[in-house]
Amino acid sequence: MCRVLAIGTPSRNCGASGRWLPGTDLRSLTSRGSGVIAMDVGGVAVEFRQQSREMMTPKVPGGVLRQSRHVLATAGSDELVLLDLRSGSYFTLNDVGSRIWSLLASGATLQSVVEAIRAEYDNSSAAGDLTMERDVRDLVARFVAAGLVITDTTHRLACRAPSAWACAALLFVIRLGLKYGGLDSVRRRLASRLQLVTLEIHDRQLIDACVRSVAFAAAFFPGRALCLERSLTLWYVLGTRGVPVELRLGVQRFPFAAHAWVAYRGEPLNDVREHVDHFQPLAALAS
Amino acid sequence: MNFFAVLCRLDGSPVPAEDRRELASASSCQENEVLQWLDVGGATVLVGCDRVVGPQPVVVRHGEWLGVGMVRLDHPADVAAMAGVTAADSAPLSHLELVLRAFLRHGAPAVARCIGDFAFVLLQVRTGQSVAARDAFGVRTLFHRERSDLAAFASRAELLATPGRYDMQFLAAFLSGARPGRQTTVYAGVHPVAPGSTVSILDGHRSTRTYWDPSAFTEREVARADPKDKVAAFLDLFSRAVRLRMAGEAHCWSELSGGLDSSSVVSMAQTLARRGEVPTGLAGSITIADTAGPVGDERIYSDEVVRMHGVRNELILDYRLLQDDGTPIPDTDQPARRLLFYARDRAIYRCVRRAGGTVLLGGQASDQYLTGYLFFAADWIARGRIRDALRETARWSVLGEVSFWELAFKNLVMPFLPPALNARLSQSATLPPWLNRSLIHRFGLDREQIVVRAYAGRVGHKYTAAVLRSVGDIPYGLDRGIISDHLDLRYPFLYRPLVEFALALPPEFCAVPTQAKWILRQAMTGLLPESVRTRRGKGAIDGRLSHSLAHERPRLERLLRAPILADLGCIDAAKLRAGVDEAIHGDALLRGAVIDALALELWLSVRSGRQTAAIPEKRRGEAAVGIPQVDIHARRST
Repeated sequence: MCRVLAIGTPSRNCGASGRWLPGTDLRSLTSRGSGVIAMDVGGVAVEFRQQSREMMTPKVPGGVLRQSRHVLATAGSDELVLLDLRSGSYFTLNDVGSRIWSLLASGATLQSVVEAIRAEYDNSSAAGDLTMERDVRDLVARFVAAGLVITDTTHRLACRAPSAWACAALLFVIRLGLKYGGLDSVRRRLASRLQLVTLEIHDRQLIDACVRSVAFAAAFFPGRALCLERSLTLWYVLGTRGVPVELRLGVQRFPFAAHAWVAYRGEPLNDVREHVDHFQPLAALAS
Repeated sequence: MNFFAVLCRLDGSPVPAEDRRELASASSCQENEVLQWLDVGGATVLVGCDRVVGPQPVVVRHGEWLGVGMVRLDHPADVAAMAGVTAADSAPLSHLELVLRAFLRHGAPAVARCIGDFAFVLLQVRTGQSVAARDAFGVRTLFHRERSDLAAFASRAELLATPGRYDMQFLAAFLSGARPGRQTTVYAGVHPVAPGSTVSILDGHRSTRTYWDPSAFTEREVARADPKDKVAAFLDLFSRAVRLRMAGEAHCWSELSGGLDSSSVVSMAQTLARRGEVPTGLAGSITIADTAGPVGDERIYSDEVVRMHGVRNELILDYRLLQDDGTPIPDTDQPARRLLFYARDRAIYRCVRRAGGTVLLGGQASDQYLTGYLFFAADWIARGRIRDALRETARWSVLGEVSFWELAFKNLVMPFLPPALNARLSQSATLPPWLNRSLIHRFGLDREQIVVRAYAGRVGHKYTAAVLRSVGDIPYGLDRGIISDHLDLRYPFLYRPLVEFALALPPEFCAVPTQAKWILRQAMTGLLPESVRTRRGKGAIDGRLSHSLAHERPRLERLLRAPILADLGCIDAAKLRAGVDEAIHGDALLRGAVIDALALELWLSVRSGRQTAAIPEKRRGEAAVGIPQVDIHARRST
């Protein structure tokens, strides 16, 4: 059963034109005892079930904000319906909410969203302007809290290379997975996590740092870390950081050998071109 | 083929007829159409010279001294100065004559100062006193046989051999993958004159003296010079090496595999020509490519060199091991792995000869003294620099993407373990299962295994010991087969001053992770295509070997039906046949041993007459005439 949390109804504080009216006060719309928080944004009352303390006191992190990849959207006659694939929750937004959502499609800071809304919707007073800004901030905060939008803070975290210890732990898990579950099982599990990543990063420094971390972990891994183990680790590490890479498998006939490596834009990251060219491609798995 | 032999009675009396007959009965004499016998005092000299191309044997006389040999000097002017000959007077003299005169003025030290490729015998015809010398790296071959009354030297071991008598120690070492001893050849009683040494006979007493010892150039206290200066010095020596080997040769070709070494030779030769430092550049280059395996085809690199320097390039493509080219198997002086690829080697020299080439430059030997090893980390540990050793090993393992623990164990732990434990721990220490155990025990092959050899050397000097062993292996890697019979093979990387300079380098100039031969790569900046200069891998024909073993199964079965090696008591034939099967199915460790056994068996088959040896190609393209024989290999393989 899907939980419809958002109900779009015109606010008494906002006229049909969609103008912000003074007096709309978010704080007056806080908890109604049932755990539902209602917001009045641009004439739309959006209700969120209180899930956590963070939702009671929403905060908007700094940096670039962006829609999450696991959220689907479809436009109706006058509203936008969002479906969060992870939680199975639906949200509806009216035109202003839809406009805010669209501004976050390719990434925008909160301030740029506020400016855009300010420019598109006429506020006749400073107080109304303040209210509008607060409302936009709250809606965006709710988006972030519900995981519908990823913030720049998250992006920055994802842009850090993992430590060699983390890579070593991952290597170990992957080795166990390969030994007891097989390649397909490991691949599917890793791929299912990679599907949730919405970023696309082309930061060469990040890539090189991740390659170094995995190489370091593999060098000191007890026994010998096989090329498949190393490559699955690097594929996952880079994939979770939004770097579009491919895990490639190849074979060599005479003498027989198989090899795995990770490629970024066609170039091997954890091997050299002159080596991987010896292998006939067998499979390429995108992150 | 060209050769020389010298017999000299130590008492000055003429050489007995039976010794001459024995020499004349050698197959080399039977096949050679241009033989010259010379009797001078107590000496008999035999020269075979049916090739107009390749090292030419020369006989010179100066007073009571006779000189016989094949000599090419890098610095003839220096030797002429030693000989007291002016530049103008030295021009018509052969290099051997210059050496003889220098020897007569200065004695044995004059030989030590000769730099080049040479094998010669100088003898006093009246007293029988003789000095035989071989160049520092054994480019030219020279052998001797010990007899109390006779000094016998020859450039081909077979000339001094007793037919059918083989040296079992050599056979066992060859089959086990160990290096045969420096004093052994395949023939019983015939010994090589060691590279860099002389064999002197005086008043019936024989003595051997080493005039060039590579250890004299290692572990010198080198002031911390600027790396740029070292690189510049290396480049200067290398350019000199190439220039000297091209000197005066209008028809100089070069091997061009696409690897760093041969590409450097070609690139330097063409650069020198462009600068006007040599009259003409290379007449051509020859590339061997193999598409059976992924690493046998390096044309992606050789083509870059060809494009960069505009040199003619001929391709030898996809020759199989034991491939039947319609001509019989050549009869070479010594067994070598390369014999199995005789069809390919024949194609190589024919290609060069058809184009008018007379000299072929090779990129061999730099692997032996420029590659470097991580053993210097073991030396650091011995000197208390444990943290440095661990840090360097970690750097190698991360950059090379290999396990730190494996690298540390092999390079930091095993050098300090007893040899017996090393052999037990190393997988590559396994001897071929078909080798008779009695041979192993008889010749102590357990102690000769490659891995034991690899860790020999004093604690604290493992790196130097490893480099010196590699330098000692240089003669075994040079071609002694049909290419050397038909072309003048020259090796720029065996220019002695260059080798001496490289031996004195600290390890960091050679042993750099993912950049082996670092100093060569740096020196060739701008002269080599970057893809070649920075490449990390090497070509190999593992794929072709596997493919060939499978494809040539019928010939292998015929060869191993009743192997001569089994008759000699060296192997178990059934186990060798089983080993061939395993090698065909991908056992890489066994493959090398199988190749060694096949090469030796093939050589013995030719020598014994089971396989028909090649009918010698006549001069001036005349049709060969030989005794028709039933030869099952005359049929073309289907």
